[in-house]
Amino acid sequence: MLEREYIQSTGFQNVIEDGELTGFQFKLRLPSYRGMWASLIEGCAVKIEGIVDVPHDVPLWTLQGRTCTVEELDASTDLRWQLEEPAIITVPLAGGLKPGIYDLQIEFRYRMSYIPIEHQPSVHKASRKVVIVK
Amino acid sequence: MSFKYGVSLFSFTNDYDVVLGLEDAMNIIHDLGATGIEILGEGHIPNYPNPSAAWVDNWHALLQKHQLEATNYGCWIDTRLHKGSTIDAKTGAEMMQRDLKLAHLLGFKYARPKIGVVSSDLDPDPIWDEAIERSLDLAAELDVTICPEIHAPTPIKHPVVDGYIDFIQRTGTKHFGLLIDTGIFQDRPIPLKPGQDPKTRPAFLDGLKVNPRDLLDIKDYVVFVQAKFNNINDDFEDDNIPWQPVLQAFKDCGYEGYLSSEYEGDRLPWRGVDQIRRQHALMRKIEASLN
Repeated sequence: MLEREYIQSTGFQNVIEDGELTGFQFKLRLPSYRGMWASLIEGCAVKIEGIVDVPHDVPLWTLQGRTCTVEELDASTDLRWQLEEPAIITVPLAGGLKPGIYDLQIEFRYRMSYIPIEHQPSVHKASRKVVIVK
Repeated sequence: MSFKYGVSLFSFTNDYDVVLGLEDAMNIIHDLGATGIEILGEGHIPNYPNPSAAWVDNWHALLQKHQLEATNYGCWIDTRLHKGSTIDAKTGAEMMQRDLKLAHLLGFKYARPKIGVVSSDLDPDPIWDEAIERSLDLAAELDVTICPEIHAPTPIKHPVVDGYIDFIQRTGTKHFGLLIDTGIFQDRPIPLKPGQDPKTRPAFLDGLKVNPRDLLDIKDYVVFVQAKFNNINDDFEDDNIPWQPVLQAFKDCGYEGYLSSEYEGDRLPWRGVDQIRRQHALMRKIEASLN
């Protein structure tokens, strides 16, 4: 079972590459009533006040075990964001985040063909206080 | 003669996969005395469009255990699949056919494609008729009826509906019909959400107020009903949908198919579960009093 809030508390952690803290990542449950083809995703802006503020096309997305840029998501033809599988969103941040509580804010953009184009992309904003344990 | 009662798992949005799973949902629907279950392919089939054989076997076993039949299967024709472009009719047909096969595999008799639109009036992308026509032979072979929904802000008397009826008359198909979403009959506003401006939110949320008697003009084409609603209050009244004239009109049309609950109100934990109980009680009470 997933957490009710779209930003999941489990999975919020630093990313370590070659022994260095290069960023952080979190899991996002799809804020919709259906899963979607990954090409319908237009990105996710991420902000932690005073620490990081990146536009929608910067974070990387990991879906079904594949990690992609937003451009690669748009080009994909068989990749999906399933309703039952949160996306892992990775944000570059040299040095990562110190252990503690953070107010994580996101703005997720996606494209729904059945909504008139003048109201697109659809935007979903969410924020949640989440914890970096170590 | 009477209606059949069902529930769409859409009613449990934000509870599904959070506090309840498929077997819980089927228990809830069976406990209502309902006989039909409706799903959204992309919402409720794990690893869509390739469910495991074990999941499919379990789906059928659970249907049998809870004495439920698969009613309508929701799917999408994502016409703007990639940014800045639209799909052709062949691709649209492939999407429709992929879902017809899945619907049939799971025992569904109806499949509702939500087709991409090209106007604020929700005119479907012009590829729609070729995409559907290319899929009619498969629909007939699998005996699954394709039924786009008539959904607010599109009323019954509208060129989109006329286009669907022209298509049925032109092709002579028995496997294409209309799904009515009862949200079109809403005659009182949905309460404003915090921060929502009544001037900028879509006008249909105040109520499209379609006259239920308009159903009689299209009665030969209505194959399925999504009983959309938002709130049934503690006085046992629906705050938005006038069920008495709506159900009277369906009865006068000779409709004997499903009323499949689509709860679309507040997504508070377990609220949908209670609201569908209220709605079935209310619709059954009204049905018993119809002329």
